[in-house]
Amino acid sequence: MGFGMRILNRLLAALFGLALAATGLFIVLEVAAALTGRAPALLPYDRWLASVRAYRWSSPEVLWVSAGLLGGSLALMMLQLTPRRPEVLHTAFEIPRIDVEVDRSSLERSLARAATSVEGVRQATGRARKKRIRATVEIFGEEDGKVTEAVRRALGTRLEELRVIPLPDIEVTARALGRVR
Amino acid sequence: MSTDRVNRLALFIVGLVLSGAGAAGLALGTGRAGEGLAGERIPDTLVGLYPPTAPAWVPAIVALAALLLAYLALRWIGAQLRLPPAVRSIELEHEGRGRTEIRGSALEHAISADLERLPGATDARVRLLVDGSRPSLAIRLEFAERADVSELLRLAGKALPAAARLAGMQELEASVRLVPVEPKRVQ
Repeated sequence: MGFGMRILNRLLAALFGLALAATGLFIVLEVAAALTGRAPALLPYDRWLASVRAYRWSSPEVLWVSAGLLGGSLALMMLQLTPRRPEVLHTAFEIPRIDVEVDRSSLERSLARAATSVEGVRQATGRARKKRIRATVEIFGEEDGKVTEAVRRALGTRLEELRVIPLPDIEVTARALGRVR
Repeated sequence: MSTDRVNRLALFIVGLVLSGAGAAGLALGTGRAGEGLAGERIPDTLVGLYPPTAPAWVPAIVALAALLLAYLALRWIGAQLRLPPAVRSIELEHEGRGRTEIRGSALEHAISADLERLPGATDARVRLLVDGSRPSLAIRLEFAERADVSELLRLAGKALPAAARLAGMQELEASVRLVPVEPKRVQ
């Protein structure tokens, strides 16, 4: 999971957690108050519920709120189902009592540097998943396949140096900047 | 299960419940749940906490369910703030009235300093954690990406038994997160 997504999920978790905890405690207190004939105790929920009767199921307000709720919650579910890049990648280093992993975001920057070190590459970015490395490179001149192949070799060498397992497939996309004058 | 996995699962469940409510509202409002229902007023007891006609055990069940919901939600919030338990100190000897301890942070600094001295290493951050009943190390090891990683790790593997002895243990498990850094950042 990316760092940004983790932070967003933590904020959402805190927000929904607070809302659920407050709702749960509110219900407990109001039920207790209702049993002793003192409801509503904290909030005038009886007036709110009575105001709900002003609407029919087909009222535009009800439809809009329902549609918003459905859209928002579907977006929330999709966000949770979206596959995320791992925090670390496993390695084959065998050191007694030590488990060795590579930090994914640092590896991506390292791969981008490896790609940029290839002659003809102006700029590069790398994105790492467990099974696939995607590099996008901007190259000087026309792309004839040689630079792409050289980048693939450079990335493969870096991954082998770090003994990343399982060795991911490497996908290189080149964007030619045109002939250099 | 890690906090991030719990968050994904819990937020998915929240999304599922809310989407069910949204879909039900739309189905009722558009007449898909029955032509006659769309024109009806929303009953105020549908979402009422304690409908007057409900049997006597209903409020108790509602209150218990709400209490459980609040408890789970508070645990969920707590999980956002929780850090992996760090070791404050390790007892080395305990004889009679005397006791010798080593502070967890002192051990962490000693191991960091050892690791940073290894050829190729540029920075090391060490945390002594409680993994079950045994302490273990979480190490973030930055190194110059052109350095010989195998050699660096071999030497790190040799440094750890010394750290374990310092902590009065036979052995110490560690997880190392390698962080390759740009050679020009290396001092």
